[in-house]
Amino acid sequence: MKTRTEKKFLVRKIKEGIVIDHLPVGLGFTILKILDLVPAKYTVVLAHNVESKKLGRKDILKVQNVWLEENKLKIIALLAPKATVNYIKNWKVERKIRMKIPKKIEGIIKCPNALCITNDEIEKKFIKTKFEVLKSNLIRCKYCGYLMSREEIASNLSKGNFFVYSQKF
Amino acid sequence: MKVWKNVLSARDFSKDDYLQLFSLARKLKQGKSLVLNKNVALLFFEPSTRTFNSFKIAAEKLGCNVFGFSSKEGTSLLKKESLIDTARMFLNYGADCFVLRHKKAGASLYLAEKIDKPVINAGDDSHEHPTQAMLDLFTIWEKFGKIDGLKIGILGDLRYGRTPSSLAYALLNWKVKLYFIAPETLQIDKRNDDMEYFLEEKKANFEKTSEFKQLLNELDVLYVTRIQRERFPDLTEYEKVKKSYAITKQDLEKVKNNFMVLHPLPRVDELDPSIDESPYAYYFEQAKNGLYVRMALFTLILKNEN
Repeated sequence: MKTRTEKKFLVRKIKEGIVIDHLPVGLGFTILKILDLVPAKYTVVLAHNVESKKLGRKDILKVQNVWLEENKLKIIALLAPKATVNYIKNWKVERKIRMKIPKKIEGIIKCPNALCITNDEIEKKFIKTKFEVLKSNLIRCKYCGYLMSREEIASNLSKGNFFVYSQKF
Repeated sequence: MKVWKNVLSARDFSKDDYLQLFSLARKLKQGKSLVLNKNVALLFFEPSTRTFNSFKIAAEKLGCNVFGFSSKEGTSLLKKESLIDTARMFLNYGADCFVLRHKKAGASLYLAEKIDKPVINAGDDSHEHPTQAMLDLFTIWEKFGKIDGLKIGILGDLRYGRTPSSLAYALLNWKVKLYFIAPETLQIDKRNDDMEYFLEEKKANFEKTSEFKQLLNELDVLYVTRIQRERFPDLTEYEKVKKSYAITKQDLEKVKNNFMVLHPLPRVDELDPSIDESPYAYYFEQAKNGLYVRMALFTLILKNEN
């Protein structure tokens, strides 16, 4: 059973921002890296390995004054299909999005294959990367056929410089 | 019946499509003549005398005009012009169809997305070479009269070679047993390689092995590809592997009577010249068949381009 202090810590509300709930244990750190926040600009709470009725144990991430755009939502959905993203405004949940694995991911992440046409020095200005999401935890580049597991995506994202565009919060 | 347009991957064609192609290729080989009177642009960003000339002659034999380039040298590509700008130029000159060889995987799909004319992939990095697979399969079909039930060994650089992938994809339309024969470092690998994933999805009947000399006596077809020096940082290791995967006449002493050896050519050491005069050597006929298969492809595609 949760103690009063633990309960207060976990359910402390934020006035405005996002709460990403039901993340698999350990993924909270990766998602935080993916958000690519300017250091010391935002208040962040990462609860790691907490109890969860739904998952057994989970991570939760709360970030004040940040809203997630569609592209990053798709990546979170791919890495954590059971996660929920809550958009908080004025202390209340304005919007709750339950993640659903996308069928495709376009123009968001790079292909790791250096010999893929999407990484060609000249052509990359004109081509949007395209990945189809396969069952069994894989995505495939439509152009070169490179296969990536969720773990590889998470690992590449946390090393940085894996998004096609860069958007710093 | 299929409306033929792009030829980007060997995966895009059904058994009926392949049989339609083979039937036409056979008629063309037997002397059927056709005049299409179209314009074919050959854009070879990577040189290939064999493939380039095979496409060129195939188009010319059908009464087509051929233009383009066989390598980047002497073109504005060296000034870093983009692929699409280059293609648009030839489109403006009247190209009805494009044949593209490019160093980067997926280039032909990208071109096909951007221009509204048929695109034939003549090879993109280690990704695919669908017309090679088509002529390989045509050679097998022509000899055996069937493909179902055959045991086919694919040997050499399976991890980085494009011909093994395309051939395997094409063969999956039939009930065959495939043997992937390669040293461990060049074997197909599930981790990032589409091919093994695809084979499992299709519930293909296949085996991976590095030992094969005994296996030769059970096979109907052995498809040999070159093991490239640049895949081995260690020269000694390369020499050792190269030697153990070379085929000599002695290796074929106990093979089946109708055994067939294929190779996409050019060969270096992996096929001993003593095999050339044996009844098993089909690689020269295979190369010749490239002409008729490419003529058949142009016919099927360009008939729709009016």
